[in-house]
Amino acid sequence: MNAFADGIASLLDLQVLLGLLLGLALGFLVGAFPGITATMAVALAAGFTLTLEPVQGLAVLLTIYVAANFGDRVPSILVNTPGTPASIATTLDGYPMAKQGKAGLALTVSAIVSAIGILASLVIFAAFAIPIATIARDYFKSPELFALVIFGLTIMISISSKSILKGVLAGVFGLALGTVGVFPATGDQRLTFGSLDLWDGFNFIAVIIGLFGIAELFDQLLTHHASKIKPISSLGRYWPTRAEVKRMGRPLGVSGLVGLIVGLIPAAGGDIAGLIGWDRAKRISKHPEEFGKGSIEGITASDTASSATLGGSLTTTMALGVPGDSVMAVMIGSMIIWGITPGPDLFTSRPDLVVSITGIMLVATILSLGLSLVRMKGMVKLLDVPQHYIWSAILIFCIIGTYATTNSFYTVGTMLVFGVIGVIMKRTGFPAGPVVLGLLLGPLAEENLSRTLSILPTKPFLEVVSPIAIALLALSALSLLLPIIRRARGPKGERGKTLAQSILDAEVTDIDAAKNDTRASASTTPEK
Amino acid sequence: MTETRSETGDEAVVSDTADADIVAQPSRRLEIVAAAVALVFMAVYLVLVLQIDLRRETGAGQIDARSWPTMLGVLGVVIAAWRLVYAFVRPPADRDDLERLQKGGMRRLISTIVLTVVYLALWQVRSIVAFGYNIELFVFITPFFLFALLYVYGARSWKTFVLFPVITTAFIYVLFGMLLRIPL
Repeated sequence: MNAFADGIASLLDLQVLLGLLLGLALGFLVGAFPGITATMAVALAAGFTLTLEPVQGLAVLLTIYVAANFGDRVPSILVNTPGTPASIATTLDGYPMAKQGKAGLALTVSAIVSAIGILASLVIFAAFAIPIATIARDYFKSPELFALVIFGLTIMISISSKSILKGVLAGVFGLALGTVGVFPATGDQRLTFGSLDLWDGFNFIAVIIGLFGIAELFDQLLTHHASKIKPISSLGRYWPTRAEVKRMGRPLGVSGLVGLIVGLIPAAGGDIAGLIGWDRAKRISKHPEEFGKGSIEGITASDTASSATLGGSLTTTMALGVPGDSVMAVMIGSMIIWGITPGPDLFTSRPDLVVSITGIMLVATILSLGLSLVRMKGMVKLLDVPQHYIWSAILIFCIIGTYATTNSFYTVGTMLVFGVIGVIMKRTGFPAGPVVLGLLLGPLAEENLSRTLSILPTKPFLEVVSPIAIALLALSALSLLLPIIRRARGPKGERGKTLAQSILDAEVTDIDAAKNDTRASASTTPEK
Repeated sequence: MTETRSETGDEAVVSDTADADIVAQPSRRLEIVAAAVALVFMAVYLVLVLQIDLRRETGAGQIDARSWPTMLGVLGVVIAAWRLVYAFVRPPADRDDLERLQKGGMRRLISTIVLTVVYLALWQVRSIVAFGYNIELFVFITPFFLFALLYVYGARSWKTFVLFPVITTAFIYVLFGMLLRIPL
């Protein structure tokens, strides 16, 4: 059988269907509850899916990824609170629309354009994943792979960190964690302190559930305060008029393109794409003054752009082995445990996986769109679930899910310790993303650096280290230095921003103005 | 002003956008402490990796078990020291992406950690023999753990205290213990 038939055949399994349905339910729920991110949900679900076959497990995890991208728009539109960071830009026009009695319309438009964005990005994945992987396999040897890891790590640091120094420290911390255990080249023990539990290093699932699940829960316990805004329950009409559909066309195209491009950049996710897409659409709109005040073009732009990152993110993750975003970092960890290592060799050796992944994403998108269009009223009620149920459920499922990975209490203890470390890092401004990436990619970096250094004395430097490796290392250095230089040259008040924020200066200004407008109208408009 | 959803059984009334009240404030002391802890951690890491026992020498141009961790340790110490200097001489960074600690928050957090540690310690016992039966502790201690969590998080309804822990424990037992055959 060919790869296409193999890929489709692996999807025709009852457990894959059950995985899709489970992922759909979980994804919608985590998306709809503010504070529970898709990363947290995928990390948690990774503990449950380890016993499954890879395609079955991918069905659960990828569907959570897709469905959360739909579910998170609901609280953004109805309570002005993003369900996950990817829907930050949705609040800009979604909530004002809801306050104007157009919540149903905002939810429908958001769901439709999100589906279009994801489907467009899937074309990118299906068309380019194998060619990119093939190029990487043919041209990426040890020096290039080492440079690629450093590039992925530095991009993650520059995007996720307000302070580059803190980001680098977080990355070094992650790389240092990755050195614990037996050194495979010589069998020497490193920092195991005689403990058998540390021979294989830290359990990756326990670390990510701790850093992304438990730490987030602990932060909510520390900072929770009564919700500010009552969910808007009057949804109004659902479907756009013909004139409104016509207005959606241009922002859909422009922001879709933004999302596709941003998605291909390692570590850049839907939050950044949504904001850039919203701003670009505003600039080309015939009615820019309506943006931030309930514009159907605004919500079209933000949600198309943030959703269109999914395929690009998947492409860099699967074809290069460098996570496209934090969800994908977790996904890589799960796949490694299944015995599948994302990277240049994956799709050239198993092209059927491209078909399976595309199929799962396609079905997940269609199911999510369908559910989005029928569940509107019910989702409003979900927003009223008291926090004590959510916190208790998250904690017990994090504990059981982590325990299930190894049947060991040591692993649960690791999770708890990293939960405490994670919340301390969060409160002190150290990003968790580089830690996870460092832990995940550290052994790969060390292995390829070792190979490169052993070849270097035998051949001329430029014969070993290709222009690709040099370019990637130069880009890595630039990604760290550029924000520092921009901040040093910028006004004092502008210092202490992430690379995304520094790139998004104009967008941030516009968005702040839109937020102020929303606040002004919120304080003068009676609740529905 | 809007009446809010009830999270803990109490109705509360707060302003619509009270960002200033909920956003964490910059803190130089916190920056200094964080950088100092990072410096100590990386210094300890460096000392430990320099003591890694090597079973055999590596060939020319090759790296041994100490090389990569040593590079990381040195880099970490340099960056952490740089960060510490920054924390002293530069104004503290904005923390507008973080929410301020709320009253009762630390109590909730510490109670959660203590309860979880106690729960894990009890669960490790696995089972006890009583009245001639081997009794699995998981099904008995989990509802109490959930009950205690709900109490700490502000629930006060007896229906909540009974139904949620029992249903959740039963669900976990059926899913993990029976279907996935995880030894609970």
